[in-house]
Amino acid sequence: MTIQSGIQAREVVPWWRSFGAAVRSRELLPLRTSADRVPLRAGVREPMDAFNRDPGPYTAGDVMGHLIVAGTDDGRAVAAKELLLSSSQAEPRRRLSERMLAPRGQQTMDDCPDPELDPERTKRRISLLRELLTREPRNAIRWADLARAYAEFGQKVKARRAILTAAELAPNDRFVVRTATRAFVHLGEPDTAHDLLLKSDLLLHDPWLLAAEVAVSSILDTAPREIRRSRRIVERREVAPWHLSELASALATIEWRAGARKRARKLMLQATEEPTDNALAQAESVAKDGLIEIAPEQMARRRAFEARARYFARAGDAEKAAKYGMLWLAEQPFDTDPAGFTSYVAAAGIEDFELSLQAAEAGLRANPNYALLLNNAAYALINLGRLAEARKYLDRASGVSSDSDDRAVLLATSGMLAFREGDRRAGRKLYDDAIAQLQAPGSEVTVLLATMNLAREEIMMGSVDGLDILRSALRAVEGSKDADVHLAWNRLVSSLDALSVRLGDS
Amino acid sequence: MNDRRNAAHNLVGKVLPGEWTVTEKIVRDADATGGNFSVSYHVKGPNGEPGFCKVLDLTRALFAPDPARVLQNLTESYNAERDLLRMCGERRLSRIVVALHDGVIVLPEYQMAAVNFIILETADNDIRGLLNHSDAIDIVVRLRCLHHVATGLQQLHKIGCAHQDVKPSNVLVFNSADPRPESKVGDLGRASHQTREVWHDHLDIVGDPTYAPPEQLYRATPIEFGPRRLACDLYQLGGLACFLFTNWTINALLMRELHPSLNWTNWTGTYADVQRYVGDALGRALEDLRSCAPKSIADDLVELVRALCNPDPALRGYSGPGLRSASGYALDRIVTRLDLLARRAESLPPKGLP
Repeated sequence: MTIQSGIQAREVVPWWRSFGAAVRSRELLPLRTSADRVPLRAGVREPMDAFNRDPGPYTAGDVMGHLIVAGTDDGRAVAAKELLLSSSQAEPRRRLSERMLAPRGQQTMDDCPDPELDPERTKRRISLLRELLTREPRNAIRWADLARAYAEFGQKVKARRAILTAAELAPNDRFVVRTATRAFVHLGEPDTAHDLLLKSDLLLHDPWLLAAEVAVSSILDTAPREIRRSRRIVERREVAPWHLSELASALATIEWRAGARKRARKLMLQATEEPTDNALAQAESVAKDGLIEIAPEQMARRRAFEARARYFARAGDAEKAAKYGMLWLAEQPFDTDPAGFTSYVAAAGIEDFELSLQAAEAGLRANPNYALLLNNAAYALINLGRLAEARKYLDRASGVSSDSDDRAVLLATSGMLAFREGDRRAGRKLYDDAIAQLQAPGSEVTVLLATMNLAREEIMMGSVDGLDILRSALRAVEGSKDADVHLAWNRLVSSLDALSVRLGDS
Repeated sequence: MNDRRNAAHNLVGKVLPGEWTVTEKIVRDADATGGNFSVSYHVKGPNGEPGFCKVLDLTRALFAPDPARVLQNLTESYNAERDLLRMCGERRLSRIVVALHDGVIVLPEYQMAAVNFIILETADNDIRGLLNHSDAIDIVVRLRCLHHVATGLQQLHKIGCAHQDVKPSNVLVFNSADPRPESKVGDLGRASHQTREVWHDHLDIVGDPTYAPPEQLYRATPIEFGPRRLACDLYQLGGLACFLFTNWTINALLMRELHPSLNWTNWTGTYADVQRYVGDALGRALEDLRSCAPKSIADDLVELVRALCNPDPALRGYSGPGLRSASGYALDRIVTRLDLLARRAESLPPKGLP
């Protein structure tokens, strides 16, 4: 094993989206309708009359203002629009009119996920947000967005300061509190996240915050303080299924871990009636256990990137898993999970080492000392033949790794590097040491993946030992139900095919 | 009732009490907020001075679904506006369009013989008309107009009254041929007095929705006079500033910046829950204002509008934290600020908008 996804046990912690993305995701919709809405009267006759008497930009602007504010721009005011867009208007106001009258499109500040993961774009966004916050220092929404942008660059101290400011300014705003929850979990302070949730007045009646409380409590390994309230709210179904999706999902996860499969299944089915992307990804993460099956039409949701990435990985379609993994990473670029997942799937599943490197490096921007991503970047570089660069990543990783499994994985990747540098003896020893260190229960899959990689390196060096190792691995592969193992095996067989090696030939 | 049998529609050539001669009927569609319950005329005074005559037409009320209610409302509104105009006249409010005369004329030959009228000062235009053809009009005119309107609202507030329908068509321009025309606030038809209740005081949106503050658009109109009515005037003054420099209303800019699910036509939650998002959208709308305003005043203007258009009516105004005056919504500092900005602009060479 020399590359891994590093995906941890999943919790329904709120996603950390920009404000614009959160609004588009519909998670800020009100729980209940407060009153019947009477449509506004456009009252456009007087301004239209004035415009017809005296056509000009100000009477035209008044007409359009009336129509836009009432939400009834039904094409009655063609002449007013034409006038506002005409070249005779002063340039700044004509440009403004162009924006006002254009079909609604992407907002400047409300970014969409950037599939290119361009760090320059994030830098520009930081600059814009800082400038805006000098003018609007009490804008909690943009403090939260700034925190996220800092987190994308791994500037955790600045991110912490920004998200704390947001939380202090708006302790009872759903977007801010959920964002702060996710941020503090990311920053390794789940207890702070939990405190913020408990301090919010919204917690007692907002299922979106209760879901976060259940998830953070799981991370803290404590019982959720509002578990009874959460269960009651889910059972009563007094708000639309959409609003209960994450709470039901979080409760289902608790039941599932406790072995109460029937209750877990019932809750997960409720969670997926009208699921959020987060709840859908959670459902997919437990689907391999057979808890529920997700309907294909739900998986086709526009932004269900994580769920789709996980689904295609489970289905053995590594190409699509990598594609959606990149989109998942673009949506949550600060997070190690999508970076680890995508760098792994791209390398182990489709041997697209450029893509694997891109994902690992994007994850490393936010988490520069994350050993697994350093390892995965090195793995991709070794396979791209960029051995010196790989060595630098491995050196960095060995300096930050404290986990014994991580160290073992790094040893294995160092073994691969040694093989590629032509030092078979050192490579073999490093692999053997790695496999020896991975003997703890639960490491079987990792050992098997490392063994397959060792076999491939030996074979590529022309060693007959490789085939023996491969044969011994085959028995374990046949007995394994792990999708990663079969994915790696199929990829290994294909690459050996390319080397014209046939199992059993010799 | 046929208009031919209604004196309100047949006043041309008649001499009204006070020796005002009706010269011309103004044919115009109903305005946005007043309904079609008045008829307008040009009139001439005993010394040939022009006037604008607003005649109450009660007959239209008879065709309303609830005639008694509408008649009551119309009568109440007319009396309230007339009394307020008299008060403005007595107090010599210089920035409010005041009544020159009011009364009743009886023409026995018509079935609807007696009609009430109010004669108001005649303006050359409203501010839209003045600015329509005038990219070259320098920024002083705009700033002075804002200063005049702010002063007019200040005068009203000092007599315990709020206008509640400040919008470009109600900003009337006098001496428009002069390089420095004068502006006054017109149409007190939707005004409220602190001590006298009128039926429209109970409406969520009293004035034109296009210029209404967001708490009204989201149907969360406060109850107390200050945040409900004075804060409304402040918002509309800020909106007017935005309009004069961008030719777009502040609410249109907000509508554009708010995601559709958050705007007032779609949001079904409470105003408290959406107010922060409205504030965020306002920040972006103000950048549009900044881009259209001359650089020399852009920062000051944007900060002024930011304070005037604060989505929280309790925080609206220009007094700043810890400086809120006893009345809460005093316009003194705003008037001074606008005067200062106008004077500063006056000291510079004439310059049009960028």
